[in-house]
Formats: sequence, structure tokens, C-alpha cells
Amino acid sequence: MNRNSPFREFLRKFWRRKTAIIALIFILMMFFIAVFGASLAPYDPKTYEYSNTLQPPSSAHLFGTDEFGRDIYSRILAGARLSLSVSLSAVTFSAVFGTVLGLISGYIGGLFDNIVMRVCDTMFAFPDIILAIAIVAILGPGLQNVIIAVAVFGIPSFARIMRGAMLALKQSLYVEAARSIGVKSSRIIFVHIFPGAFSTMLVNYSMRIGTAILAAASLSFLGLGAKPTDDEWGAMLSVGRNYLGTAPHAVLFPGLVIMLTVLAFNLLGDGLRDALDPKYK
Amino acid sequence: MLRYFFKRLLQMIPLLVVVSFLIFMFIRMIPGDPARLLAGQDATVEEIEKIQRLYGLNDPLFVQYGRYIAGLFSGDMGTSLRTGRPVADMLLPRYSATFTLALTSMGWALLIGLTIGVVTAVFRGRWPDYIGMLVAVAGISVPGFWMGLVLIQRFAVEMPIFAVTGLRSMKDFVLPSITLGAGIMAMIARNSRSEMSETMRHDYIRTARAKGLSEPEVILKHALRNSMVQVMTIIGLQFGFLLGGSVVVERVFGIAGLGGLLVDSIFFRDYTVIQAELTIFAFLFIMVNLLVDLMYGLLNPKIRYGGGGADEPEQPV
Repeated sequence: MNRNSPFREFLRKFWRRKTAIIALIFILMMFFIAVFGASLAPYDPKTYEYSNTLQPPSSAHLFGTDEFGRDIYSRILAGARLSLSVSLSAVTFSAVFGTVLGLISGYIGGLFDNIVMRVCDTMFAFPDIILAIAIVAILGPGLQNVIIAVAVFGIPSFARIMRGAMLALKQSLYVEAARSIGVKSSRIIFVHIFPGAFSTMLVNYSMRIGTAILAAASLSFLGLGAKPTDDEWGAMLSVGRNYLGTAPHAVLFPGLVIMLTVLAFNLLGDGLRDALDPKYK
Repeated sequence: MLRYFFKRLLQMIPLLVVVSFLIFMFIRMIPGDPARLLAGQDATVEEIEKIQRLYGLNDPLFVQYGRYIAGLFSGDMGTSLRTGRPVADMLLPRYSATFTLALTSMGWALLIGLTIGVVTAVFRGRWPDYIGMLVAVAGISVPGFWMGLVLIQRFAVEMPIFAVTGLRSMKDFVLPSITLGAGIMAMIARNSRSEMSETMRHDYIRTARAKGLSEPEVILKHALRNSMVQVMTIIGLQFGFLLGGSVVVERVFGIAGLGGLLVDSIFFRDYTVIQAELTIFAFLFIMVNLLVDLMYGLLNPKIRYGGGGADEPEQPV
């Protein structure tokens, strides 16, 4: 590979951001836990142990036990799968849908573009979480509907970024050149324009996952998402809240894990942006 | 300036119409028949029909929409399907709690956020920068409800300095405001830092230094003032975040505000209240952004005379 290729340049800059590296390692670790979590857990997260409820952290139970005597550490490990897959699938959906919408909207322009952008404006007029609550209100509570809700409110941000890039690149010389030699519109959009906006999209993707985890956890906390019996971080917090006075650890650890995971995605997003943006040297 | 003001005001009208119509349609999509819900499990068909007639639930949709809009203009938001009281009467006492909470949160967030932004920009690449940015990124990562619970546990249960729930005096606003404002504070800090760093590179900053102004003067009078334009936009956009966050924070602290009522109303399918609340939230958000746009025009003559420009503020990520 060329010594000065943009990818090398990116790697070199990214490597300098130690926080982003640590965040990336943490995220990879979380993915590993999401896949193998259940088998890594010291206890069965579903086993009730009534003689051992709401125990504070000890060497036997690292994060203590909950109101049914379940090991909180094991439940957190097992919950990684649900919590991560909810946010990942939601954001992936908004990214794909938003990108296509933004590309088409920016390329066609005119009335279609106007309508799409007004709808996006309207969606921006609602606070994210309220929009999600409203969607869940229609579809009914449940994790699947939380994914839909979180996915829908993520669409405008991707659509806007893509449309902006499209408008900027549509006028560029190389796109004009491609068009003049008879390249098809679809090829121009996906091969020539899409990569130009890829870095911004990647940064937004990483940041959005953080937002999605928070939103999904908030919905579960309000009782609109995961069932209280599910191994899901937000739901664990919501239940643990009832024992705040006697067993604060039941709230502390699930929340800490949510925060660290969101933090990691945000730091990764920051690092990617700094490494990809030519403005930051 | 006046022309700019009216132009922005006019541009708002179609947005408000679209938003109110969407909310209206949205609410009708919620499954479940409110008349049946209101009449109770073992109501007769006649009873249900009576309720439907009473609330006009059988009228064509556009008639209902017209009635809803006409009502809004005369301050009538309909009757709650759950309590049978006028919606406006239910919202009014809750409005001040949510509004005060939003205001106090925004207040401290702005103060601390700007301070962190300025300090980190000035000390860019040195330790105050790292600490400040770590605080900021932690602020946008922390789940509001969790932070609230931890604060309650520490400062209301373990050390009983504050009340666990409810709002009786201004002191009770402290913990909820800290919880609600943390995210905004972080956003403001991050944005003002990048804006400040950008501004500090301009020639006029060098000129200001060259003509012998002291460093605090250069930073506060020249750099900060010019960075404020962008930061203002962020504040407008984040106001929505504040309203959304209030739903969760009010739940955690047991505050009788608009957010808590919204969640309750969703569970009870109280159409009229949900509708009124969503309309108020959207309206407030649009108004705040209009206000920001106007101040934007006031701060930046280019926009005032160029016509438009502030239409697409950059979304913070």
C-alpha cells in the first residue's frame, strides 16, 4: 500500500488518539461479551436464590445480587446482547434508510427534496425521546417497538448529512466529468458521491449508537421498553430503583455499564472525526 | 431587522400547521377506542355512543382537526378523557414546574458549559483541556435517570441534604436541575470549545493582541463574543433535549410536571392530553429556535441583510 495513502494517514492520526483506542478496545470487548456473555457469566443470570437477595458486592458476587438473588454481574454480561443489539439494529436501520433518503432527495431536488426536508424539520421539532415515546404509544410497549422508535428518530440526521454532501458534491468537477462521459445516475450516486460523505456518516453512526443506547434504556426505565424480567440494562435499573435505599448497588452497576458503553461510542466517534477531518491536523 | 423578524415569523406558520396536523393524525393512530376506555369495561353500547357524541369522536377527522385548531386559538384544549377536567386546567399548574426546571437547568449548564469551553480552548492540548473534555464527554454519556438516582442516593438518602422527591422550595430544584442540565452542559462545552478554537485562529485576534489588549480582554471581548453566534444555535436545538429529558427526570424525582403527565396519559390513552402536550412541546421548541434565530440575526449582520442563512443550523453530533 502507498505510504501516504489516505487510509494510512487516517490510521496514523487515529493511533495518536489514545482515548479513542481505549474506547475501541472497550467496544470490541463489549461485542465479545454480547456474543459469549452467557457462557462467561459465573452464575446463571436466570437462577433465583431467595436466601441471598439484595446482597452488597462481595467476592462471591462481584456486583452484588438483586431482589431475586440473581447475580447482577452475570445479568449485566447476559444483558449486553440485548442492550447492544437493540441500539445497533436501530441505528443501522436509520443509517441505511436515512442515507438512501438523503441521496435521492439531494440528487433529485425539487418538490421531493422539499417534502423530505420539511418532514425532517418537523421531526427535529420534537425532542428525540418524546418522538420515541409517541411512537411506542402507537405501537405499544416492547423492545421491538423501541427499536422502531429509536430507528425512526435517527433517520433525519443521516438524511441531512447525506443530502448536504450530495448538494456539495453534485456540483463538483469530477461528478460533472463522470456525467459527461455518460455514467449512469445510480452509479454516480453510489460510487462517486457516497464515499465522499462516508467519513461524516461513520462519525455520526458511532455517536448515534451512544444516543440510541441511552434512548432505549430511558424507554425501558419508563416501562415502555424491555420487560422488567428481561436481562436488559435499562430494565435492571428501573427495577433496582425500588431498592435504592437498601441496595444502591442494584442501580449503580447497570447504570455504570450503560454510561461506560455510551462513553466509549462517543469517544470513538470523537476520535474518528478528528482522524478523518482534514481540518484537525 | 424588522423585515427579518417578520420573515422568520411567517416561515414558522407552515411548520406549525404541519406539526399540529401530524400530531393530530398521530394521536388517531393510537390503537384502542377512547370512548370504550372512558365508559369502562362493562359499558353498554348506548353509554359508549353517548360518550362518542359528547366528545365528538364520531365526527369526520377534518371536523375534529378544525375543532382542535379553533380550540387552541381560544385557549381551549379540550377535556381530558381520563379525568373529565379541561386539559388546560390540568396543564397549567404543571407547566411552571417543568418550565422552572428547564430554566434552572439551562442556566447552570450555560454557565459551566461556557466556562469549560473557554478554558479548554485557551489551554488546548494541555491538562485543563483533557480534564474539561473528559467531563464534557462524560456529561453526554451519562443516562439522566441513573444520574438522578445516584444523586438521590448520595444527597437525599445517605446524607439527607435534599428531599427525595417533590418540589416544595427552590432547594428541591437543585438535584433535578443538575441531572437535567448535565447533558446540555456537556454539549455547550464541546461546541464552545471547538468554536473558540476556530475563532482564536482568526487574524483579528492577532490584531487585538498586537494592539496590546490583555489576554482576558482578547478572549472574552473578541473571541467569546464571536463564538457565541454558533453556541446560540446549539442552545436552541438543545432546548428540545431539555424537554425530552424532563420526561425522565420528572419521573425519577417524582415531580408533577408536563413530562410525567405525558407518560401517564400515554398509558391511559388520554388523547386530548397527549395531543395538547405534544403540541405545546413542539410549539415551545419552535418558538425557542425562532428566538435563537432572531438573536442570531442580531449578532450577525450578514444574516440580517443576506436573507436566510440561519435556516440550517449545524446539528450537533
